[in-house]
Amino acid sequence: MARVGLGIVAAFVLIAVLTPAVHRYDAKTDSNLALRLKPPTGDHPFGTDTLGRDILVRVLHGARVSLGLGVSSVALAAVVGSVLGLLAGYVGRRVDLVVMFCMDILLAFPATLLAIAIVAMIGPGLRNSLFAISLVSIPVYARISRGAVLALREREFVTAARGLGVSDWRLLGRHIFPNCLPPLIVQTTLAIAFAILEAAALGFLGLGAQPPTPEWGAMLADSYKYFTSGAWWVFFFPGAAIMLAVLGFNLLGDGLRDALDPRLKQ
Amino acid sequence: MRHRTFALLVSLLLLGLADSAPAQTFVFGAQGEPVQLDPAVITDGISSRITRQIYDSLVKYKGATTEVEPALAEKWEVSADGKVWTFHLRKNVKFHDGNPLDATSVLWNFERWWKSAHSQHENQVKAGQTFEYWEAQFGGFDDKSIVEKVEAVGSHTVRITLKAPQAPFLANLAMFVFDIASPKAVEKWGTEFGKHPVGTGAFKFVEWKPNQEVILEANPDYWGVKPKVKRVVLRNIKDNSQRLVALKAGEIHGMEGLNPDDVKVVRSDPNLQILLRPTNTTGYIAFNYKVKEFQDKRVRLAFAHAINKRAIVDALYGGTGLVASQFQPPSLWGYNKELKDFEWSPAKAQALLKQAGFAQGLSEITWEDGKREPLVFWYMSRSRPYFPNPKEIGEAMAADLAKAGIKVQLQTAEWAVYLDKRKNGQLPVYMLGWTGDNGDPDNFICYFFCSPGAPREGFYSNKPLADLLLRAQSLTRQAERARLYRQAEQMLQEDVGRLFIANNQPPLAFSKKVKGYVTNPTGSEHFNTVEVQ
Repeated sequence: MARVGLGIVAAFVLIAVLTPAVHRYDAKTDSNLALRLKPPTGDHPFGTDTLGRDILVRVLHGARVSLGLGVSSVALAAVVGSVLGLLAGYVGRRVDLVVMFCMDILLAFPATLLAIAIVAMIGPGLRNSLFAISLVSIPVYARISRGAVLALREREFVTAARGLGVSDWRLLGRHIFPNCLPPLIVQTTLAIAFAILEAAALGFLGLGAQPPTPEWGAMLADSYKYFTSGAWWVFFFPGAAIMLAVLGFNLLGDGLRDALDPRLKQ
Repeated sequence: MRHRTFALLVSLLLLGLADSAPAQTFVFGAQGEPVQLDPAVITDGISSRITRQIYDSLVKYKGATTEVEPALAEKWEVSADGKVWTFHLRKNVKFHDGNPLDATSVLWNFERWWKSAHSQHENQVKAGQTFEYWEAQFGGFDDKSIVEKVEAVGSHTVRITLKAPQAPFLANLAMFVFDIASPKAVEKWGTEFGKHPVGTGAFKFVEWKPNQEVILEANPDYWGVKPKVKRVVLRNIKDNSQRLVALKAGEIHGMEGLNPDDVKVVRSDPNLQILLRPTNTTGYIAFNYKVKEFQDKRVRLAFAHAINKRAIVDALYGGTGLVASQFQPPSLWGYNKELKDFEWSPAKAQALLKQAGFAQGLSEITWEDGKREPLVFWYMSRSRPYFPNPKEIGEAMAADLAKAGIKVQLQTAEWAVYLDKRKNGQLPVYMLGWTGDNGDPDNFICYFFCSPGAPREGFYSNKPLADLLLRAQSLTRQAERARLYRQAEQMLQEDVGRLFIANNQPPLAFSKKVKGYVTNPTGSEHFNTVEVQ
């Protein structure tokens, strides 16, 4: 299954990288009211949307928006979260108390609700939703890396290194951090799936990408009302893209966990 | 779950009755929850849809028009100078609580609306229930009002004296806000009256189940056309698609708020019918005149030539829209038939931009205080009759503008915030519109253009236009006024003060079993003529 996941993810990454390279797209001028709501045909394999825009083109270009947002928000969260966790776990005492207290506060809110609240506060838009999503993902990384540090801190190789007079920073960077990586990598793959879903949710609520940016969640929000008039293709394809991307990252994450988690190996 | 079971029971009941005898209940799908049911302090269509069934006003709109005909007032006279109005009330009319309608009760209602020291007025204002429409239509409260005095000159005669003649006076009185409530009931319930409404109308209030429905029953003693159904249920279904599904399933008999693309779905359904409300609504784009670029008429004209209104109306209004060439919809008597609309021509738009010094296109603006920012085009976050799907219409207009070299960024805000920003003049260029209250051109055009430089109108200042409109307001002869309103539309167009995009005839959908529903341009529709077969 992990291979299937890897395949899907690779396909989406390829789409996200290649589409803008081979096809220039100006969402601002891409509309033709005469062609609106046409069902899938040879010219428009996914049909056209309510403004007569080709849905295939928008779904493909949407991959870059959704994946880009997912990856970058998770990268940001992973860096900030793991640094905080490493420090909390290694330094301990007051730093640990303060950092983990803040993380607990963040964790106390349902992630989606918190993201909505943040975006409502700082205003809608792609960049702001990226910020909101990464903020709500930080605590998980902090917790995972802190836990890992706490377990590693007392291990023999760490004590040995410390005995040899290795500095704290070097100890953290060279000996402890690399050993925290496997759980963080697993978490990152799973978190990208969550971030894509979250971005779609914010887009659906009109808080994420602003029109006419082709973002899957926003495309879904614009089109679900055509359910009653029978234009299924307008919401089916963006919905399917979200589902596939999330599924791919989840399968990949599960596979990575099986491969990297020492407890599962034994 | 209980709600669904109930709905099922009701629909079973209706099915059972359908073939044998006329149904006793008319179920109407409402777009949301009423704010409250005291007509004097509400401003929204969902609440007024209900209050119009419970109350009557002195005069009412006739059928599908905005002409005024007698209601609680049987007849009236006006003095030669247009200042003194004498209304003769219908005799033997009773409120639902049994109290008689007489001159004293009408007088009491006027004082509640008008006098800030009236104990009930004071209470309600303190509770946040303000008499907004009285203020807007009659100039304000107490001494500020155009009303000089109101007297009960006989048991059933009321005399209203104005400080100056007001042309739309009668049309104003027919608005839902000036429905007459039972003074005894208002005094009894105080600020809670809106939950226990008592009027003289064709239907009596029975129950309000929050977030579900409001139930009314026929008033057998009604003075006018007796109701044809025993009960009316106004069911709250917020989502347009879900409401249509309920209509198709027979759970409701009628509804408003159709998605434009569902109009053809209803038309092709053999069990359903569409009724159109005569157009009384115009959607526009307004410029902010504190933006330097928009002070140049050539830039505004470029917008006018860039937008393909015909294509937008044809594609996005479900066949119920009309291209607007001016602010007043064609149903108003001040409409200017001679006015030619701007031609759609991206080339012309580009040429105009070039002349104005934007050969490379326009994508940034400069505010008067020197602040530069990207050109943001604000689209509405809520569907209104004049822009039924504002996001799509906004995107389509933005695409048209882009093709002519005007690159805008689309943005919106939560509806209350949006209106607030507009009121404070913070939006550079934005979509909005207006639905007429009383069929008088003054209500349409003067509200927007009678106060030059107002922040809420994007600081648009056209003094000659304002003077003309104020003159039209003070005249009483319709032919004379109509000439001035036609002239006003022409002045507005010559200046490209604002871009008028479309009028809409808001569609309502009904089961074919429903007969006798009369749509009105103001949305004031009375259910007493409705039959369910």
